Amino acid sequence: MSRRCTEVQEELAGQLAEEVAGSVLSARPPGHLEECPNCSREAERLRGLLTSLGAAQAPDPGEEYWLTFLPRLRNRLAAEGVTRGRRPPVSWVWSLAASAASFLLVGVAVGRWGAPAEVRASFRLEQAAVRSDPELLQRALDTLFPGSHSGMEAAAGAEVPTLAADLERALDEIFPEDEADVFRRTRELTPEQRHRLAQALGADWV
Amino acid sequence: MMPTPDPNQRDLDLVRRFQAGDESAFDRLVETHRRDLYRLAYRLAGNHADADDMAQETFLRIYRSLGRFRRESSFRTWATRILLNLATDRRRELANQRQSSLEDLGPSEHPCTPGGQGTVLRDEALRKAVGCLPRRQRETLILRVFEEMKFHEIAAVMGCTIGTAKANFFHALRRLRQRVRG
Repeated sequence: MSRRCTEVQEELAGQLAEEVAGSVLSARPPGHLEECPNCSREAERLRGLLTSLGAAQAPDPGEEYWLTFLPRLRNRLAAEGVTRGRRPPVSWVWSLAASAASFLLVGVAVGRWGAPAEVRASFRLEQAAVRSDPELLQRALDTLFPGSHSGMEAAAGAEVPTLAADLERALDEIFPEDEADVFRRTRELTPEQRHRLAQALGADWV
Repeated sequence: MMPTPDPNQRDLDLVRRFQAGDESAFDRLVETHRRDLYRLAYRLAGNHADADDMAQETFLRIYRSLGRFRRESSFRTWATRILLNLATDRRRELANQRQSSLEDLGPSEHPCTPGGQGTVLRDEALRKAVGCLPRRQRETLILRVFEEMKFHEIAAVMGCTIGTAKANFFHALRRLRQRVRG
């Protein structure tokens, strides 16, 4: 295969990736692809492959199936006790922060962290919670759960969301199911997580 | 003459209604998207029983999460992402369950063994060949060819860049070509 063939076939794949075969390939001006038997055969094969793929149908299970689809789903929702996920109310978010702060303070009180800087940090967390400071809570969440927010959007090249949006997203991802989980998660913070939280707050709030 | 309602806007209106407490809006969303999600589930699972279960489970997950859906992407994109995540979970579970039995199979019985030279491309053979692609390539191919999604939509569904989606598509095609080369 010549160098030109390699280039054309790479370009061919690129065109297929742009839009599915037919129109793009046929709209292309005549050139090497049409004149070279190898390349035109490769183009035909790829075009045929895409046509075969498009023609392979998923069978329709029939009207009776569709008539029962929603009732079965409703039955499952009821049987499994599935509840509507709700965005946590704002007051509840701050009560969570206050709970986390209290938890930290208890940790300090029992002597888990003796360093004065960490004691100051935990008090600052409590103050932030009391003052309902979303910026601080956002930082705390990021510290506890690094990378939990906006990963998909960032990977897709989307604009970085605002702080408030980030906060809500982080809460959604950290506490996806129901309110009871929040308190469980709060109780499950490891000493390491607590330590990192206190450190982060200490660095930002001195 | 009334303008044709934008399907995406119609979906988002239904989501808004659901989030405001209107249960019937969820039923409308199910009725609108059940066929598409079932079809995609079938492409991924390869049989009716699993496709049905995945379609139902996807709507269960949607119901749980819809209250928190931020309406930053289309409902279709979001629902497709949920289905793909579910499919990934299922595939992983299945792989774990089957690992030992697959190890017992001889080479000729392996499900991904290509057919002989000159084999006519039938739906079943093609489905099998698609099923043997690496996961990201397979999902990209299915979304592009069968679901006719644009690359920017695929990127949104799969959480990757448009360039990556195109590259996955390209590699999927090349790999399929190698498998079915006659």
